[in-house]
Amino acid sequence: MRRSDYELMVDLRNDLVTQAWSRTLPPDFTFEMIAKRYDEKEFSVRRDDATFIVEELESGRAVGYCGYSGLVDRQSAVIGVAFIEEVHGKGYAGEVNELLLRLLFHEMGLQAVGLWTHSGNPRAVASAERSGFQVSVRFREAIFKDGHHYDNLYMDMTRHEYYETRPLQDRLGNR
Amino acid sequence: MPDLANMTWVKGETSLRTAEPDDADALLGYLNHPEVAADRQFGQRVPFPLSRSEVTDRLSEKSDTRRLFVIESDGVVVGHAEIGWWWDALAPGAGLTIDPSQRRRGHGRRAAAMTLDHLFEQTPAHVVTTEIGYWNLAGIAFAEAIGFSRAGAFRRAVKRQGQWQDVAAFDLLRREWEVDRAAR
Repeated sequence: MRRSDYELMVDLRNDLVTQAWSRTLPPDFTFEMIAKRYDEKEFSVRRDDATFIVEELESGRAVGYCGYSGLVDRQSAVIGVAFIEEVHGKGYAGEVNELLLRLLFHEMGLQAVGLWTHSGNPRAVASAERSGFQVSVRFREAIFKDGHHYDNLYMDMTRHEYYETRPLQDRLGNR
Repeated sequence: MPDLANMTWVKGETSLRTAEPDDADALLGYLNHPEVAADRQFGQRVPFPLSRSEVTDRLSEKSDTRRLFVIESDGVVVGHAEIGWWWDALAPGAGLTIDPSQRRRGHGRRAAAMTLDHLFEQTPAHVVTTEIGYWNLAGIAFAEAIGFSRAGAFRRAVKRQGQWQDVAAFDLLRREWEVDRAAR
């Protein structure tokens, strides 16, 4: 991520549709807040999160971000993706998920990769399912958004499921 | 949120009070017991024996979104309970651990009732969640006996006895707790 991407991060963070519920509200995140968050990141080989900017190859335009958090060494991590509304429906989430999954399973040797979403965002659920995630945990009515209760969904994919559906071989040998 | 410090709740032979750093020795009396340590106490993802200073540090942490209680009977610590709502007070998490030598005496059921009553009566909780390792069959049976429903599982969440294992997730809605409370 570059400083020039911070404006995009502000817009994505304040997106009421995809990002805003509970502690992420109110949607008043500023450029300065975002800059402080990412400027203060220091070099470390013990980080448990990462953030990447998603660019369209053809135009070179930054259209979203993706990343992971909560990394537990060689065990698990939680991914997240968000895009500007203009590119919704173009299949970028699937492409980004694939890159993240390869990084986390094939390079970082994790056993399971998950993501959090909710039942009020069926587009996100369907996108994750197309990538091979399944709903593993459904905490009923644990999300309150737009005046409604929604189920909080944890979707995940195991290492076995990843390698079973990709033309890659699992040589970690740690079943 | 109400100030939870210095509160003592009593139900039958069991009481709950906010844990203090001085409780470290009492908790260490069972925290490293194999049956208890297997459940990854205090958020451990990789198990290792807890030291007195680690437990003391944990008991010394200040937070207005998490509380650790000790469960006592006749002045003896028989377990601990933890509640937390870092992300959303609407959906707090709760956990309960009873010293293996003190189980099957009703302490868990009474402590769970006090904890859930507090969450639903004194906080904005709409649903309470908890997580239990799939190997902990007694814990899963207990959760279901006090009204929790299975919400699924965090798959391959921990490694135990040579295999990656799942951690079961449970939830309990306010309206379900209200039915249970009316029946007590």
